[in-house]
Amino acid sequence: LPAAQTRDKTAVNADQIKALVDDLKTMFDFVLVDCPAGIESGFQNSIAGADRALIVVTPEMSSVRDADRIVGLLEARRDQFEDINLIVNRVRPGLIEANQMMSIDDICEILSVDLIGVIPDDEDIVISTNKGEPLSLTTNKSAGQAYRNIARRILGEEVPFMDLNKRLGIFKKIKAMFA
Amino acid sequence: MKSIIKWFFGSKSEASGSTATNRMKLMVIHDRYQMPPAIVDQMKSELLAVASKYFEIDPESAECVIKSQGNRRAFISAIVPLLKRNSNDTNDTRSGQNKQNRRTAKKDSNNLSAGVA
Repeated sequence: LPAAQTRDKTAVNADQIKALVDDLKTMFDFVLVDCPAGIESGFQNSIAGADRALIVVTPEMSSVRDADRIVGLLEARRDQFEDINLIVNRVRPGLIEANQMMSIDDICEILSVDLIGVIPDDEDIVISTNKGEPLSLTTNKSAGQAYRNIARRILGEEVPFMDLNKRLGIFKKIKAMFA
Repeated sequence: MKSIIKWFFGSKSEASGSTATNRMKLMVIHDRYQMPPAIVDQMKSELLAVASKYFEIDPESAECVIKSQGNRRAFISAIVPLLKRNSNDTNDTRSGQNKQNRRTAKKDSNNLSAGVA
């Protein structure tokens, strides 16, 4: 279910969303409910039928701050959720290496949520969305792999986290050393 | 030599990642507990006031900060150097009262430093 794009977001309420998701549950193995950014009624609607939460955050101040409020709201309804997990999106290993970006560990520590995936910032995402092809199905590298790893972890598999630094070129590694 | 290499690679010397982390930690504490800075400053000065009721304290080097710990909780850490036991008993009316006043005046000047800490 994509996040509501209609002008009148009050057209549906939380109970209706919950009934809808309960219906879909009988038909599908997984129901993914996209949640609009922010903490307004759209958020309350989206989580109404959910029993698991994946919080997507980027390593930026404003995003982490928003995520922290989301975590607070989800924690207040902890009984509803089997799991609350964190996905760190648009990570730039070079910047983290040079200490110009919050590290994954720092973000997890600040938010106190278990990490389930790290997605590198990847220009292939722009290209694949241009074509309308899911990146996770078309490529084995970088972000595509990260998406698939997350899917496997959701299914309960133990998948080690990718070594993002491996993807740094030798030039960038040297640069990071002197930063 | 190192600076030449730095210049060559065009890196920024300041490690903004750590700055971001520290700012972030402070920011989320304030968000979670919804506390305006004025309230925090007031609480700090009241904490010092309580300490100075029982001890003569060294307010200049007193330190009172709110820090985060795991599990989305924060704690108040107050380090208040104690100079000596306050001899001000309830029976000791007159001189005690004067001392009290003096300390109160002292305390007010300390509030500022507590706020900055």
